[in-house]
Amino acid sequence: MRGKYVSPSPSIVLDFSETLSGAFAGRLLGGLAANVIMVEPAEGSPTRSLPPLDSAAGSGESFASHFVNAGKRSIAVAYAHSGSAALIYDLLAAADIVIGDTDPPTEAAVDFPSIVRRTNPSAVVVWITPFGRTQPYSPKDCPPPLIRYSSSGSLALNGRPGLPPLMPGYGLSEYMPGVVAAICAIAWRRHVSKTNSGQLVDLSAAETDHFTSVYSSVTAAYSGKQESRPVASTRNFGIFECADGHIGIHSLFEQSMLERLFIVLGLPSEYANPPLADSSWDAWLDERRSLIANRVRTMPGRPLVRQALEAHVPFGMVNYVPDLLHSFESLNSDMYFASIQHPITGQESFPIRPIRLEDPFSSTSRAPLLGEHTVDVLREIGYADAQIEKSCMDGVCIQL
Amino acid sequence: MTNELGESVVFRGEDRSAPGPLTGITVVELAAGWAGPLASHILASLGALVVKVEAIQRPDWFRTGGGRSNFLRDLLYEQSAVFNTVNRRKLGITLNLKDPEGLELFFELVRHSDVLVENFSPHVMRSFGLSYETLARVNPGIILVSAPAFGLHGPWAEFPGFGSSVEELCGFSGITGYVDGPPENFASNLTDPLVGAFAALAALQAIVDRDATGKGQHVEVSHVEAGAFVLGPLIAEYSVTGNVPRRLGNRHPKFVPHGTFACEGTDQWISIAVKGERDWLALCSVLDSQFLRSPGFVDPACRRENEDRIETAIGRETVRWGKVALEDKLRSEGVWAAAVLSPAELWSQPQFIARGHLEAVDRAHVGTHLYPAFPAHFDGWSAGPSSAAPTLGEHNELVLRGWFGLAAERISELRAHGVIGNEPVA
Repeated sequence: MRGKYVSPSPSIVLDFSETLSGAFAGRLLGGLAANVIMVEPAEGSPTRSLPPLDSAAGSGESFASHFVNAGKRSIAVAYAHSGSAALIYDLLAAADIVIGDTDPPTEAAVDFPSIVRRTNPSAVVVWITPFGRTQPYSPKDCPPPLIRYSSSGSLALNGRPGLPPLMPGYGLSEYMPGVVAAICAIAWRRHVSKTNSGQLVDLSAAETDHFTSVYSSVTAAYSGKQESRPVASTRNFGIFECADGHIGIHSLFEQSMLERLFIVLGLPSEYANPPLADSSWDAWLDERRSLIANRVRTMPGRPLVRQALEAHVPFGMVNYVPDLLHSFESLNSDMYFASIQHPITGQESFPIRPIRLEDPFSSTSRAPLLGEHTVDVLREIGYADAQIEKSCMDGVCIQL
Repeated sequence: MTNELGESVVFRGEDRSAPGPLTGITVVELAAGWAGPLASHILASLGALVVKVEAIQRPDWFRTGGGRSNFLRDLLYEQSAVFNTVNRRKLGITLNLKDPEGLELFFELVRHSDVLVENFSPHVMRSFGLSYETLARVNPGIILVSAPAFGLHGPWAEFPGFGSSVEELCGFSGITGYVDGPPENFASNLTDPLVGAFAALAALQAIVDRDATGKGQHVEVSHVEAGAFVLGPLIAEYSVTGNVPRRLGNRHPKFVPHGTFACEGTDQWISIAVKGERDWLALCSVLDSQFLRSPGFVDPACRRENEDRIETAIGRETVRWGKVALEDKLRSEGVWAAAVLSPAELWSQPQFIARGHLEAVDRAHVGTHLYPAFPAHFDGWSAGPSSAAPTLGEHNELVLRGWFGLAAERISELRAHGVIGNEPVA
């Protein structure tokens, strides 16, 4: 340690993440005013190659990285260099929160979270792994989410009968562990401010999947039988083709809502009457699904959704990315999107906040370039300029 | 602390033996369904004391069973797996907030609390007279977390939303589905738990802010805003390239093959992902397929060009295997593979068992079942075993008599007037 960093508020977060989940946790903390520093290997964080990539324009830049690393700073460390461990220890000593998912390839790498705890006992360490840090499943590499999702029971009920179980598209399953990680980080950081005693949070993404999919395993345990796919459509009418796309129709929970649904569709409200016997529920549903499908096939969806919502029936138009950005009123009415200039890809649009606090969630800075803040960060942890110059010259760290 | 009767009472989380991160924080939950109740369940899992407020005139709809002829007779409202999962670690009371006495007691609860979580359209809180300004007059430190479907303001604010309709509107369904197939929703809606977690995050940050300022605040978590937020990478891509993402099934932009294949038996599946040449050759060796061994397929670009044919060929071989045996074999060869476990099979999932992720909870009317524990493990602290989700109005006496010091006669009057109760109004 070369001089104790005088920790101001906000918290100093070191982000060693290689996956979307960990990086997203860092992004959320950054939005809540933490000072988040990506600690990257010399070749760049693996998050820089997460899809989607800018292959069309040929830059190869990762839009996922641009999003989940927005607002952070970057220090690049040559882990292969013998001096890198000392530098990492110095960084760790300055940290309030350390987030990661994979041990970095430094000599301080064996059980890295425990090393962080020993180096800085007042730090909160949040480590996100597919199955947790303890045996029997603690794979050395990090498999893609499909593998974890299969083992956690989250995949089995999604998709259509006869076809393979289906994953959420484009990494949607990876954000939830990131939010839980950010929750744990803030909660324990608050605790540390009172006790000065740090914490190691061992977060299992598979357990997060299970924790947040209550429709599956406990339901099966209660009923003593497994529900068949697609369970979603047994609770709702489902998604139907309409004249201008697809429309989702849902309202099985209340009788009066169900009556309004049929009125909105121009069908007799008597169709809402429940079956005489609970055992005929499936046939009742099938008959109404068929009616609804025939009814809405030629109807424009957007006016129908509007009409249903005004009647307090929760229809949903299937929106696509351009709809979100340009036409969905609920997102376009109050500065939800921001345009951010990136030096390589140019102007990019992002949603800037998932929550609205009195002190706004801030995330309108772009993601850093590799090693863009190496010098600044080293200065902040007490390195003299000569020392920084030597570290860069020796190849311990990389300056943009 | 003691109440007006001089009895010792437990309040503000004083019952925790070891202080946790949220020990001493009291949360009132005036929410229904999934997102709001999950938010307070997360806070409870970090040590907060949560009091869930329902009304016998309108119990939490997650109790389900409504509309069934035997709803009351068979107490279906106490037998909902989803309600009983997400409402563990809470006390439960009933209060009719349309009744002045019920509202007065609710304000008393707010006066002694730190956070109020609700997830209704804005008009619902207005109809109770529960604006943030009103609540803040009762308790200036109160943090109100509102999680409506479409936000507190704007042209859609008063519209209703369910998990599935929000998935469609915020873009999840449009990017999910089989290749060339229609958009799909999820059995276990993704937006509801995501919003619940974001609401817990917002509550925590507001608690931290209050630690510094002493002031509460009104926090807003719109379901569509929280949901669409995680489409950030795709929105950025579209804004630069104009590319609209298409549905990929279980395929992956980097790995090929990356999919789920039928195994021996009915509705039995295995997921397989190949990350490089070594894994590809190992997969070919295990599956022993002449077609897959075609030399050109060593090149990932060639595999991508022939992805349909390769998936078909893999599926022809995997049906000869039991899913667990094939998982074991492929894992032993270093290939990423996982049997697709059904919910019922999770109860014997070795990793979940080894880590104590499955916790047995005994609850009235349904008996003992296993439930998922909080997914983060902490060093030297846990919130302890979950208490069962409350039966309707289970803790009325505890709160009204024990905390507020109401006499038994007064409680009987409240019950007689329908302000509190233990059975839904038919």
